[in-house]
Amino acid sequence: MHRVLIVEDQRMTRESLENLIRQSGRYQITDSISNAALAEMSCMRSPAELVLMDVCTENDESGFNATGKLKARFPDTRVVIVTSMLDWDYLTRAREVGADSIWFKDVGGEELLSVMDRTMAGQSVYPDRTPEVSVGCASSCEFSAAEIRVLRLLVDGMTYREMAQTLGVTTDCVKAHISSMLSKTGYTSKTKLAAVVISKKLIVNGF
Amino acid sequence: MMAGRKHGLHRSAVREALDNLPTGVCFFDRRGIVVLCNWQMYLLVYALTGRDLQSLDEYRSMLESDPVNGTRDGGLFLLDGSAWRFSEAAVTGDGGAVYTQALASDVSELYRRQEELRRDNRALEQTALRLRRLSADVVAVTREEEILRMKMRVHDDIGRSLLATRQLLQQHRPTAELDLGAWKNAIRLLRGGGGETGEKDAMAQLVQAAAGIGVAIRTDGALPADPKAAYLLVTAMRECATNAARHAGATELYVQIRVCGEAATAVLTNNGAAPVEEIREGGGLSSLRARIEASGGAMRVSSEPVFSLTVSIPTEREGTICTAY
Repeated sequence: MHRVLIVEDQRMTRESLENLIRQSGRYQITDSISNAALAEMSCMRSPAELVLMDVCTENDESGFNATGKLKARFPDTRVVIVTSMLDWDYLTRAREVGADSIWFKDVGGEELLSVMDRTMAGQSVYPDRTPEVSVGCASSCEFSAAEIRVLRLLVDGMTYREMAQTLGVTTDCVKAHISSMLSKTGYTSKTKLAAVVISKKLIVNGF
Repeated sequence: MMAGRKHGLHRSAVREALDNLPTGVCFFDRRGIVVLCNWQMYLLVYALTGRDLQSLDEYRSMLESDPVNGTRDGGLFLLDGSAWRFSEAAVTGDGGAVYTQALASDVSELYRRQEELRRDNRALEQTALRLRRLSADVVAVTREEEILRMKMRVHDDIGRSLLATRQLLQQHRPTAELDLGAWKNAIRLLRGGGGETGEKDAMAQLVQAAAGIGVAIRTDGALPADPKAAYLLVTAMRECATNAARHAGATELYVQIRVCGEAATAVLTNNGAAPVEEIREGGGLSSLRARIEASGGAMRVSSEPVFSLTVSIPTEREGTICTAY
């Protein structure tokens, strides 16, 4: 039986994960916590072989930061990032902090238990890209990396000038990216673009 | 006036040209007496003060006062839909005579555009604020969506269990075959509504987690009422409890909290071994410092004679909350 730590701040989801693990017959729960920042302490007390790590956890503690800390301290512990956010950067962030796998909740695809099994077998389970969603007439996969960088600042409410300063480019360049995105999506206002991107969870800043 | 004489123009021609100017112009001699005032300036001064312009002193006092007609917006006078800016300069005429030249410029178009810009900026600020709020809400909305999806799934499970139970009863099979586990799971998940996250507050969770690694947290003083400041102190305690167990073999973490005015200060020490060399701030302490400094607070690490961490955090809400751990 592999020992599993669950980090999930939403009670129903947490208990559903607990049920899944109990019924699996091959995993057992060492601890089940709602704040990612307590994961290190939990592993110090009861070492886990696998951690199911939510990204946005209680008190706005980041599951990515907690994963980075855990992997530095317990390199043999496997971590599966479990998220319902479709942020473009989450795949990169997960890799950067050393997460072994990532699983997107509620978007179909592979079952979590299968991802856990493969991760414990030494595989790294990463989709090629975040699940695709539509943004107006465009698909989320049609946005370039530079456009996403601009969007990330736009949803923070920055002006053209502030975006240009932050990215080290000209305001014309920022405007060109925005107008390219408006043309792809068919939207007429950048505010609408930002609002849709936020509501589709394609950009979730702060984690 | 002065240039007019130089080029041999009649005084009346100069006067007429000045009166036709859209700009208000007035010249005062060294004693401050009006020597020449064009029609526009006359009209403006009369509208703003209700009197004729006699002297430089009167003119200057007009600029300092509220107008009889119209309004002012900073240094501009707004009158009948126009905006006027007044300026003053010294000019030297033929023979070295010094005059004071007062000008009233029509800046209505500039003012209108500035107003538009201000309005646009206000609208942009509102939009930016709304976007930031939307961005902050998305995590909460996602949680609610997850709860809803989970409830729907549980209801499906209950439906399946109901059908199975009905079938069992219709076929007169023993009730021992009933899958009570599925029922129990569904009921447990639905009980309590499922909206809440942690059942305990952050401090209680930390005390329990620290006890799990053999560290008892002993607090002297209560956490501040400001939840952000309180959570930052809990974060500092968590970092110190982890480090105390890991590096000093400590079993107790002492936290002295003082909330005074608009700041909360905490001094954290432990009963473990003193550091053998000066503490270097690694990943944990440096990220703690970044969080504390980002909130406008300060942090000091001391290695002698024992390890101690002092943090000071500004609080938005005065007072403390009662805690006993």
